[in-house]
Amino acid sequence: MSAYLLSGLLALVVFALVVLAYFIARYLYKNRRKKSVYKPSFVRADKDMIKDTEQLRGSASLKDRTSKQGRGRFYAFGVLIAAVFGTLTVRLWGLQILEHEKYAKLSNENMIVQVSLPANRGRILDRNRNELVGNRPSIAITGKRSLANDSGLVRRLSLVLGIPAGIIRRNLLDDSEGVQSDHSIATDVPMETVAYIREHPTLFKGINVEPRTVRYYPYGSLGAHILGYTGPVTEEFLKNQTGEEPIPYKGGDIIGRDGAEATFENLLKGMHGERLYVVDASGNPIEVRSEIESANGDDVVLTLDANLQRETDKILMDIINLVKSHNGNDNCNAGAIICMDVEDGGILASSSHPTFYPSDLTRGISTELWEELNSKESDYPLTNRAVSGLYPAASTFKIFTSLAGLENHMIADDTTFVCNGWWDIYGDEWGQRCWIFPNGHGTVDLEESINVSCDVFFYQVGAAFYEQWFALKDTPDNERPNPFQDYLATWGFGSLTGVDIPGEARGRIPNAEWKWEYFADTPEEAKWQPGDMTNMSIGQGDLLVTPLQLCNAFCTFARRKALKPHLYSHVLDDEGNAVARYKPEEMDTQPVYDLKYHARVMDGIKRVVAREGGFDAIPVPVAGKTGTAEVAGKDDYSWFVGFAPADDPKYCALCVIEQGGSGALVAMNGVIQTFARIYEVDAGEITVWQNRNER
Amino acid sequence: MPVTPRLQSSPSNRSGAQAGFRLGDIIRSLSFPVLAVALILAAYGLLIVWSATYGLSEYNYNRQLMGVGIGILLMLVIWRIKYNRFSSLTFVFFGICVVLMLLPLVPVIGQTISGARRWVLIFGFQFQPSELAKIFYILFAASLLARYKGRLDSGSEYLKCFVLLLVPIFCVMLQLDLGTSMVLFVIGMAVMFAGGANRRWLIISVVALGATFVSFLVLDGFLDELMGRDVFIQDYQKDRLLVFLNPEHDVDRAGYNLRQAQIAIGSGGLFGKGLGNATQSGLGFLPEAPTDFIFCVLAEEFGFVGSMALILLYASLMFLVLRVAFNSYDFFGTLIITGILSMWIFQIMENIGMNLGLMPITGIPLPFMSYGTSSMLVNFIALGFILSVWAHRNPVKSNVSQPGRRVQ
Repeated sequence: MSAYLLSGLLALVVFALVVLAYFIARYLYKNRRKKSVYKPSFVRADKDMIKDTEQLRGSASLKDRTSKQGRGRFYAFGVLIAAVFGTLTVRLWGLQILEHEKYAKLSNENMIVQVSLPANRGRILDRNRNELVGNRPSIAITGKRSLANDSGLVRRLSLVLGIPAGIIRRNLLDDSEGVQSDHSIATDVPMETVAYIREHPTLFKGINVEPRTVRYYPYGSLGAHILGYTGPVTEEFLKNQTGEEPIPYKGGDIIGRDGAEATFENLLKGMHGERLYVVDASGNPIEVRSEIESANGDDVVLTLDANLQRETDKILMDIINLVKSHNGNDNCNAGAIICMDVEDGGILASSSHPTFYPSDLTRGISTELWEELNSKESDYPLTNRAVSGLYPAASTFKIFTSLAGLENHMIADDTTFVCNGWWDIYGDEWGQRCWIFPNGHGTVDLEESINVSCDVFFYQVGAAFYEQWFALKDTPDNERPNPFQDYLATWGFGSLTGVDIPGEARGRIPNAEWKWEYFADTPEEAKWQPGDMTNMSIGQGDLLVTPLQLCNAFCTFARRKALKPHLYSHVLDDEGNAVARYKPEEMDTQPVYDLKYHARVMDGIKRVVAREGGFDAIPVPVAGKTGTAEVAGKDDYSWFVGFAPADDPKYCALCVIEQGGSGALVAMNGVIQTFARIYEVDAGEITVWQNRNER
Repeated sequence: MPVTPRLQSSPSNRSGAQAGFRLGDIIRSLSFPVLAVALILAAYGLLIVWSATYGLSEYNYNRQLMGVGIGILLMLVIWRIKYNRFSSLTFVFFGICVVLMLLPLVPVIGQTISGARRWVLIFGFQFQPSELAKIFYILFAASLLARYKGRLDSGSEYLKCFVLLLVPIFCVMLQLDLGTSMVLFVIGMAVMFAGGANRRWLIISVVALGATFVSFLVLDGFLDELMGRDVFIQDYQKDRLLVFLNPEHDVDRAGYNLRQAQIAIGSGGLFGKGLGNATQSGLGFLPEAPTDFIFCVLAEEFGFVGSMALILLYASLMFLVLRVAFNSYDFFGTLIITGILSMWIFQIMENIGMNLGLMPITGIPLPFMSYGTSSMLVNFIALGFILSVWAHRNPVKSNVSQPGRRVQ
């Protein structure tokens, strides 16, 4: 609107100038006549004389001429002047008033250079404020991708840095740090080399020396799965930024890729500062226009205990190595240990084997390493088995089957079963063994079935649930109640615990509806059979749990309240004070049970430990449950979950060894050793028995 | 021719020693408005040049001050000279013109600066003879056309004048100085126009020259290929033309100057960034700021208000000069001033126009503003002639000599 108005005004100005020119010309013309009146000297002059003069002067001056052509041409000059200056005015108005903002911006862009001031990424500390992940300065030699074609330069760099030329070329071509940014050729370059490169800029044209900070892991691979790793932010990520994020990223920034680095990214990241320089045309800085200081990321304190974590990492590795060497079982290569604080659900230690070195991954991952870390041969070391591993829970699950049976009145106070080692209530075709004692346990009640892990007792519970379900066969599958599965779900199985560790798996509680969908292509297998229910009741079949789900369910049992497991404790402010402390969160669904039943199950799992021995060194009573999971085509998986002290539980520990062989004692060792470290007692050497047939 | 004694005696009597040196008459013979506007312009120019050259070692501000000082002295001298003494020196001026134009091509004294051979170095003084030649060209053109007493209808006479006027222009072309040759061409055509040349011939010659120029542009590419080097039109000149036609053309190289000039002017806004705060020229983004792009510095520092002040000063100077031309004692004076006027108008239009992106970029200085002693001297000499024409406008009061005597 105003632009139109102003353009209109301008047109008026131009018009006025033209009119002005006209009047000036007219005035000059009139003046001539006036002068002839008021200047007597000319009038008095002889007419002839004047004529002569004009002749002598050669046509006289313009104003005396009578020729219209001459005057007209003279006025044309006036109009020309007005037109020229009018045009210039209009253009000036356009540039300086109408387009001012555009050009002011361009002018600023010319002379203002913005330099980003990096913020330090926050550290990750354990509960005793030991530094688990820190930063350390490192000097990097960087260069643009195109330098890889300069063979002379690559050769010189190879000589100076002592790195093979092929590796230098590969590093230059490696886009993992982002295509546009400089690619780092070598990091942690010694000062002498840096000095040499700086002193010979012509030899190393295009090579930059950049002071950087790199992520630093004082304990190597300690808790690698929990801590995770960082990597340079990807081009794609930068492209997808809307510009409204609380923390904007720039090319070359690092971002948490896994573990705590990823979960607590927003706390750790910090904010870039910004410095505006005025530069001249050659790019030399003249002055600092403004500066915004960078805000360093927060130090995050985890519930993790570095000492315990180191021990569990070691215990896990030792057990696996022992199984390998002592039992000659080369298939055993993986496992997990979790230790939780029962009182608030904090994770004290979480080990997963095989593991990796986060420092290998922080500065861009080479293709070979990435492939190696994701291969079947290496057993996927990047997988955090504590939260992502899915296993049949096996006999450890029996305590939840027991509670389900008790709550649903499938087991009465005086229910006993006679176990003769073979159970075939559904006929020979469906006959199932009591896996541990082929000769049978004899007459067992609930507590004793838990203690000796008698399968027949729990088959019977499963069968009772099946009968109830089968009786409602006129109701469609999706409307039939599933009291057993529904009860298990209240213990957190089949759903995410919501722990602050990335990559958590959901697990699975099978039911008729699930089976129908799962085997939709082969309807003959899709029918819900009594065996499905009975297998589930001993933690086998299609049931899948993660170690963390199981550990958390045991914690829930031990503290009689379901809390969310967590890793976060608090952050440190600038003075090192703890702020934003974790508040324990109750799970949405709490399991329901009669205290009487809880006591019976507790009695059962206390007996397990008492019978097994091995926990003798631990100064407090322990309760726990063994498990041996059968996995098709693989050796048995070994489980143990326990908590201590049994009467006032404080710590809960879980150990699972993949293909640890039959015998739960393999995994039990992990828990014994973990508790021994917590209570600072010596539990002796780890021993792995081959032939103890314990479930 | 019969001449009455009174007429003979009247101007010469009055122009005698007593009259000529009476201080009151001398002062009255000054055109104060013209002088005042011109001096304000020069002062304005000095201010801007000071700001534009501040801290730059390759420019010498004192030299510029000296140029203004000597210019004012020259102006005062010329003001007292009876300009119409020169009316019959047509071919002397022509000769001086041609010699000056060819001077830079003389081996020893000729100087090549930034690819153009336009300067000469004599006795340690470096100057641009083509600037000085403009004055002689104006005098030559004016005295030539004054002979026709405002009526030039004959085709053969017109052709004679036209060819004579073109000769110095070709000499400038030899230096590859497109800017100056354009100025001379404009002066020549303006003087012919004011000198009463037949409209038909004027139109024909402008069209013919335009056609020649265009055909040169078209043929240049072929010729360059044929000769294997740049002939007639230089590549950079073609680039400038391309930039003019499309301002976004090659913004980093050929179009860089224009781009930066526009940024400088546009970022000035209404009131500008203030004296000495021009970032575009001060930080070196705008090359050639004190010379060809001095207007940008002004526009950036003083904004629209300052630019308009300059435009209004120029406009008032032009109209005042037009008035002098109108009141000239004889046709020769009118034509001299017409030449000066057209020179200034064209230079202002071209220089500010190229700053604003309205005209293609050429190296033409802005009168009274641009850094450069040669052009400053020429402007003051021209001003001297204007004052001379004004001072001698009245044959009775002033001491204009009788040109008729010499002619006959």
